[in-house]
Amino acid sequence: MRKLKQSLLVIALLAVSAWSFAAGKTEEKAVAAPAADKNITLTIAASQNWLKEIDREISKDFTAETGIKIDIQVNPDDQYPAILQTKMNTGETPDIFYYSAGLTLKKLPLDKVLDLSQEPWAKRMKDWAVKGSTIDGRLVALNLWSVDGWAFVYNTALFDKLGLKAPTNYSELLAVCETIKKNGVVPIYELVGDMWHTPLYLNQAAADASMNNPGLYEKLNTNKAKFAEIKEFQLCVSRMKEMADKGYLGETYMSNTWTNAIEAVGTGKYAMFFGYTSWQNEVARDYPQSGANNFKMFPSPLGVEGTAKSFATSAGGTVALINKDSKNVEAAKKYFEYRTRPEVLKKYYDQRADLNSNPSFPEVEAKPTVGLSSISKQVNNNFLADAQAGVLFYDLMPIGEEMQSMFAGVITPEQALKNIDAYRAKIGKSAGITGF
Amino acid sequence: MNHDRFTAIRLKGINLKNNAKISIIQGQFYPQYFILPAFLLYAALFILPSLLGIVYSLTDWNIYRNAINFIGLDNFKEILATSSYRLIIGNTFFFALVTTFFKILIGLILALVLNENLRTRHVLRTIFYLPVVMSPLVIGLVFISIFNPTRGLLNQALRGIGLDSFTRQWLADAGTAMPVVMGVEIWRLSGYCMVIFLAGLQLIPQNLYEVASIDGAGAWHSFMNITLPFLRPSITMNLILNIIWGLKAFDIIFILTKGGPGHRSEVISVSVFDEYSSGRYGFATALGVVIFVLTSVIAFVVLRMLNKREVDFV
Amino acid sequence: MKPKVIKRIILESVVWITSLVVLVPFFMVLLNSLKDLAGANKMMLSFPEKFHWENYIKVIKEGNLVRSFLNSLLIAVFSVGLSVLGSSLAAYVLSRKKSKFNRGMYYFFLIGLVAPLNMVTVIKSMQFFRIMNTYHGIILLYAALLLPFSIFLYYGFIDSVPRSLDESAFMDGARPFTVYFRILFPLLKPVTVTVGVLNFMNAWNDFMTPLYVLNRSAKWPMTLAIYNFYGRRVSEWNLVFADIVITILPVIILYIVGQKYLVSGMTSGAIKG
Repeated sequence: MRKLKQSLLVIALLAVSAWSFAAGKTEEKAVAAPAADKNITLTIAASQNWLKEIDREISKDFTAETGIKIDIQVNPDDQYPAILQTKMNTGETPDIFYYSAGLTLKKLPLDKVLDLSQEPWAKRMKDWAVKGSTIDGRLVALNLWSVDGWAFVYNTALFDKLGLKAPTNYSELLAVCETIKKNGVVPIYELVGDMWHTPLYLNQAAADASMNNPGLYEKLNTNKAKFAEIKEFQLCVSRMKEMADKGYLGETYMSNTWTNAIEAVGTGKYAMFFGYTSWQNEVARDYPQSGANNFKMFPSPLGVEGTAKSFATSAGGTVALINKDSKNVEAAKKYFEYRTRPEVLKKYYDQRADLNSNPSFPEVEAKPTVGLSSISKQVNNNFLADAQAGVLFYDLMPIGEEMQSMFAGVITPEQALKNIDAYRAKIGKSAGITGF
Repeated sequence: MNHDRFTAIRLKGINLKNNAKISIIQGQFYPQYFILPAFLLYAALFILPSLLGIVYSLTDWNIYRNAINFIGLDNFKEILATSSYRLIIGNTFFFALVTTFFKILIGLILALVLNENLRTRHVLRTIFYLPVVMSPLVIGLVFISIFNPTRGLLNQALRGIGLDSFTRQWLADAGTAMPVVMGVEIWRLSGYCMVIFLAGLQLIPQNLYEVASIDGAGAWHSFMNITLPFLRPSITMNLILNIIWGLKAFDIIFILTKGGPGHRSEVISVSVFDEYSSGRYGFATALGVVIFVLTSVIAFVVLRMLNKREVDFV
Repeated sequence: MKPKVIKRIILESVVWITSLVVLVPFFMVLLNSLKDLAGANKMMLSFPEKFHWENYIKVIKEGNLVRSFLNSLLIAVFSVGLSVLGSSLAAYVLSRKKSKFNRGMYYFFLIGLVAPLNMVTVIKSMQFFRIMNTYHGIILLYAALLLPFSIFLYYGFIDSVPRSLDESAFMDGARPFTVYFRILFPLLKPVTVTVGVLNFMNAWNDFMTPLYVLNRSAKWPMTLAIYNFYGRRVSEWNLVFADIVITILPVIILYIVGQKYLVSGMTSGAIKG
């Protein structure tokens, strides 16, 4: 009896091993014969917060129409870049993958990315979207996002109630915060722990600096200028710390999270938030009584002595790329074509309230928010490229870590800037960029 | 046929020295090729990547350039020269030592208590061992919610009993980040030490205690002179394993604080991941080699220290 | 009552109170998994107003948990099987024949306890052997990683099994493999269960390796399903907690079932080693 059991076990082991070997092999075969065989699965990789329900819905529609299956793989936010880079460097790249637009694209081995300049939809994409996805003359990505910038979104109802006007410079901002605080509301919702947010203030400061100092981005990219020496940056970080010390960021700013921002402002616990122009749509959706649709915005005065005269905008947020060496390049191109059809785009942006103030394609009606209009008026439509778009190695996570150390009181604002310079120098040297 | 072979050996043995005879016999009975499957698998999927990794640690391999240059020990020089890495190496030692100490202490106390004739001791042993079998990811998520400053269980409990001033932003505060992370690790693995100690306690002959008490020895005396010496192998095992795991710890720390704020709770393995994420593969691997060397040295030293003083009770 | 009994009861109560440190987090997860979104996000240790059992159904459907459960099972069972076989065979010879070579070989295996893992070079090695993105690939990888600790445990335990058993079998003319499998292996049951349970836990709980070596989410194990419930809109903690409960249930069951052997296995296994 025991011998029978043993042999059964061995047979079972062999059988399952054989099965998994076979399963692996047939999969390889299926992938190797793409065009003829409609048994294709496209892998799409993204960071967990970038894809929403509507992306999945549209992908299902695509499968229904073409028979090409979609395998959406989301990775945790903090690991996605590492995983994607590893896969690209070892030849295991997914068919389609998302990444941040702008100069950060240079972190990817772009020789492994498909050139999309000749795709039918490429000419239709808006200028800023094309610019943010073009590296060294090649269009390498599809932008299904929006160009947007970050500024202070404020609760207009509360401001009216307290008789406040949008501040036009830093001292006015401090005064406004003081009044709000005295009335039992926390002035600004900040999330230091989610390290990608605090560097965004510097983004704006960079745009301000580039206005006062033409060619600044070039200098930063060849190590002829340093963060620690730029007045706008110095002002910005020391003021950020100052506001925290004055209690204007509340008590839990070190561990607040992105996902609770909507609730914080929507319920009136916090008065302002450094968000993007369509953020108020999301607040309005979840908290209609807050009147978020009428929230206005003002540009951050943290980097300037007087009024901010520019609005720093991104290179286009998150974009999608195609693996040049994928066995399913044609299918991937089809997917991009499908997603750029005007009716599909409309359906998509309809559901993405966070993106529809400035969609990347002209066929979709832009729904600029009250916030965006108010900002455009204030800076006279002077939209400038932010640091992420124009400065090399403006990596949010490492910079955010320095911000976190600064807020925690472990280092001074000056030291934080010096550390950022050291980080950029380190990477620049590794990358062999002249000047570093 | 086998019988003949054995006879042949016995006959051969008449002319050979005993040692040779034994090794021939052993060679036949314990064939070296048994080691082959494990060796091949281990060499192919563990040693090979590790060796490759060590080679890469001597280069400037990164994601920004296709060319890879040999730079000798430059990576290691950079590690030693940068103050933040020195801090992180210090953190790693601190983490390993403190957590090991408390895990062993708590594990020992639990083992002693749960070795007593309590009725529910089996259930209790299971309960205390449960955290060991949980995935660090799960534990990390649970404790992130517990340590949430506004709504987490810990601060809610403190407020509930009127200790409002004791509430903190546990994972975000520079002063509490490291202690909290160590606390979770101790919570997680004390049960493992407990089980090892329980096992060791089973081996102690009960009559020794009876004899001692007849002689008038107190509980403390029995503990120091009977229990502790018998537990020496358990202590050794717990010490070695926990120090190694402590030095290599990654999952829990990464999930709870990512090493922040300001590197306060950062250990080397987190740095490895950070450098890896920013694309400096050669440098990240060098950090990994540093962990490897440190851990091996320490494990070796501790093992030698303990072996010298060990008494055999066979 | 006798003072000794009173002492025992007091001791027992104290330990139970101490055990709350372990039990409370688990209760929190369990209770909140049955609440609605708003309730769970408060993360309190209170009883749910209504028992939202449908959270579990939602989690199983949306997270493809049946599929990922089978994946986890497949990967864990085979990794454990391979590692138990390979390590017991190797440890058998290494501990019975302590030649200089074998002693060196033992330390060679122990290096695995200490050396860290480099994902890029692992991937390159797996590509070389053409086992990337396959079930058998990740199984072999896990088995390789589990070998050092398993050999460590088996080595010590086998030392405590008297050689006379082997020798009498050899006297009767048995072949080496038969001696190993028929005579020795059954005696190794406690260690085998220990190694089996511990290795199963490690393989089951690992969440980073699959992200790198499995490129189809259909092959992903249960540990990764958790990420589906983050960041869709708001963190849906009630679903996250329900997923946690489902993920840890098999582990707890396996542990309770194997617990009897766990203590005795760890005893002789490592203590004398």
